[in-house]
Amino acid sequence: MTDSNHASAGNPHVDSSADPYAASDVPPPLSETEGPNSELTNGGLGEEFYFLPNQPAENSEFLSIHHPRKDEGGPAVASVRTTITANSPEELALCRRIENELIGGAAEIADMMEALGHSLGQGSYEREAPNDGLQEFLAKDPTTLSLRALNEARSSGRAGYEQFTDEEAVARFGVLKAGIQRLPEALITAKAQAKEAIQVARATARSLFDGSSGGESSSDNASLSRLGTAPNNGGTQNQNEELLLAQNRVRGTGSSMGPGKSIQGPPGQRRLEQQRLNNQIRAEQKAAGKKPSTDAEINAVVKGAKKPTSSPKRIYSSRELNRRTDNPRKDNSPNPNHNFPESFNGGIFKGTKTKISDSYTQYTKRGTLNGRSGTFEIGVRPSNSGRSEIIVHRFFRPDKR
Amino acid sequence: MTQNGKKSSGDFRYEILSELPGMPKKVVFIPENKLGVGQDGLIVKICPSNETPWIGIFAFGDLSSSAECSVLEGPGPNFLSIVAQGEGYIVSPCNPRLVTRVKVYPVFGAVEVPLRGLVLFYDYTNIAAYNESGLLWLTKRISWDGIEITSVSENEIVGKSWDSPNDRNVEFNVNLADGSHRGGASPPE
Repeated sequence: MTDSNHASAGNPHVDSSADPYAASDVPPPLSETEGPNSELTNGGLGEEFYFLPNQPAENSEFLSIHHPRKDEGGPAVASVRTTITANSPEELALCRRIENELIGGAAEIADMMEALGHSLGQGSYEREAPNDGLQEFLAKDPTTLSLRALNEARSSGRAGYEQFTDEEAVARFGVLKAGIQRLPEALITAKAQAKEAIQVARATARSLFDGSSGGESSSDNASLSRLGTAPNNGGTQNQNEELLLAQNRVRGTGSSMGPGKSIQGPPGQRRLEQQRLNNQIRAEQKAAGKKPSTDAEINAVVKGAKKPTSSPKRIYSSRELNRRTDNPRKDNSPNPNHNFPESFNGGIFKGTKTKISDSYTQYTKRGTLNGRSGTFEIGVRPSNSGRSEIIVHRFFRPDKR
Repeated sequence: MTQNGKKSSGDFRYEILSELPGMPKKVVFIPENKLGVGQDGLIVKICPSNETPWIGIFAFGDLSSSAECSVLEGPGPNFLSIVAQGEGYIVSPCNPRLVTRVKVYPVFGAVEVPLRGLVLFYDYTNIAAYNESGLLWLTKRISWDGIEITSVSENEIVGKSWDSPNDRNVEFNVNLADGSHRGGASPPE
């Protein structure tokens, strides 16, 4: 007997511990949120961008790839949920660029999933045929996905359409698996690039802000207000204008960091790009009659802005690790309720935090797993120093029907 | 895998099959699929004494093939309870359309309580009791993660549940009459 299921899972790695903005005391001009309950919007200034290609709202808390069962119908869906609030034209342009990148990556996988679904739906796998090839494939990588793909193929076989050979089935699953593995990487890259661009912009703005000596200018107060740095008095106004102008400069048309671009490429090329940016800032400072900042000054600020927050180091307890293969998975096959992808942790740690006692804290976040909605839970036991936490509870609790 | 069970009243017989027999007369996929394509599941042949025998394919849940697959008599004399790798069903042997999917998921096990005409189903955190009328009660969350039922008497269920903050199993007692419980451990609501 076989079981039949759909394949799903995946997640962008979004680790709260890597958030570089928390270390900065500059008011963040561009806020990033992950809102589980917001509606799908894709708007202009002041609106949130949701990177959700073909994504039903209820499944949007994490990146999810949903390959529907045949009885559910419809195309496969790949999606990722990240929201960025655009508060200026420059940020709007940046958001659009990130959105395109993310949608591109997810859509690629969605197409692949859909193609595979069509193949399996219209084809079949001989249920009773020798399946040494598949077994070998699964033995190498006995993941839930593989098992489900196998089951999908087997159940398709019952429909009695054209027959797949073992090799064909293995090849199809290989393509699917490779695609799913590529997606999170693409998303991580896109998000990292976006963050880097924003970090540089902020850091440079801060550098100029610290080194400015005033000077009247006619700034757009509405824009300042949107940035959360509206002037309170004359002096502050000048400083805020400096901040705004600096941000516009590094993201603006006159800079290599203009809208739709970020510092990319190998490290050497990025250094050159940064150098060019620094030179441009110095030129503008000189033209404004101010003392030009040195590379060290600018880089120090950049470095400071990138400094990650000191989040605790987290390790797993033996109980938690053992639980992943606990009963009823007597054969050590994956236990999705306890063995969901590691990359989900970042999102869960950003969810609701509840301090149960001095020695126990629980993080929860609503989400879906294999098409079922529920709550992800992680319980941690902090060390006395607070620098380490032991994860003793990691569990997806499905909702009751 | 073949298990046989025979209803003492003689109203029906059931048998778990490892594969579909040749030329079956009546096969019912449960849950019924509107598209006419069924999902693989636990195959149970049910032979009511005065009705046509039928074969039910009760769709598996998403637990592994080593998870519980069983058939229990009850709740009451007119129903069968089926556990199929995480899914739980209650079905009338005389009418395959009369079927209920149980509220808890994934179902790790089911326990009969014949004296009360109940069947209990439990998942990681809750226990549900069904009688002939349907869901009788569902406990509040009694465990952080995992339930083990150690005994069921006429009046209560005794078991152990996991208390994650204190890193130990704790005992709980559930009143069979109303599902209220003492003991156990769970996060704050």
